[in-house]
Amino acid sequence: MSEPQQNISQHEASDALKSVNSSQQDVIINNQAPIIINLLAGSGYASIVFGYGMTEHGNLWALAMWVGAVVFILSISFLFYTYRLMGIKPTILPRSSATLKLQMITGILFALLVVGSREFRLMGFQYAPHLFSVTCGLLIFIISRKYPTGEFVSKMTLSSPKASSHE
Amino acid sequence: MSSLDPVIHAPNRLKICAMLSTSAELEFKLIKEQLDVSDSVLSKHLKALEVSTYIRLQKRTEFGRQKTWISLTSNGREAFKKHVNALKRIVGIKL
Repeated sequence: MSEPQQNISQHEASDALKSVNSSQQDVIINNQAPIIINLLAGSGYASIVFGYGMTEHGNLWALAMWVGAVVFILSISFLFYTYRLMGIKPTILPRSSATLKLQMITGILFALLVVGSREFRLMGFQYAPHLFSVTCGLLIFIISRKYPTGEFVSKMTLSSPKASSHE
Repeated sequence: MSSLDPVIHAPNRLKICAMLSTSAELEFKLIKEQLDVSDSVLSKHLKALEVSTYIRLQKRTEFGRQKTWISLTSNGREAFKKHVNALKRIVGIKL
């Protein structure tokens, strides 16, 4: 094994970072599941939120909630299965602090939206379930498309160094 | 100040670590296709990373076919993070 190359130029370091970025993006962009599965997952979750927000003793919206739950679980299972066939095992438990942060924020946000869809309707804002369910559905769709592997991967913006000075 | 890791610094090994950092596990075939290298070249790079305990290789039989799944170990994840941070420092990106 060669000695550590501590004296690489800014240009080489920039190229290395660009290759890291493109390798990460390639895994995510070139290996997307069919968009219909993401749409189904989003719709399923939206149905859960809407059903929960609209449920009363005398109506059937609880059924929409259960149908939504089945659609959501099936589509997420199918999403994982598709990725496995493509050679990717998505992350479930967070492995980096950025992923942990993303999962915590989305978890809290989804919990608030689910509870809010019902509570706001009971307070008199009749369209809360409609609004919150669409928001949840869109969030599920965007997150499952943007972070399909379950890991938070940020896109680095690197400008070319002005001079390839050696450190 | 953390320094560049000689094991990870090789271009293909850096790409392998970058790809592995995006998921829990990746299959050998997928990495091979992304890197556009032969089986033997990829195996050589994976061996170097495995010897340094940066990755874990697991052979599993799925649908009657043996597949090799590769994942970054916690050591590997940490080493990759330090390496990327060292590169960022050289470029002048604030951490």
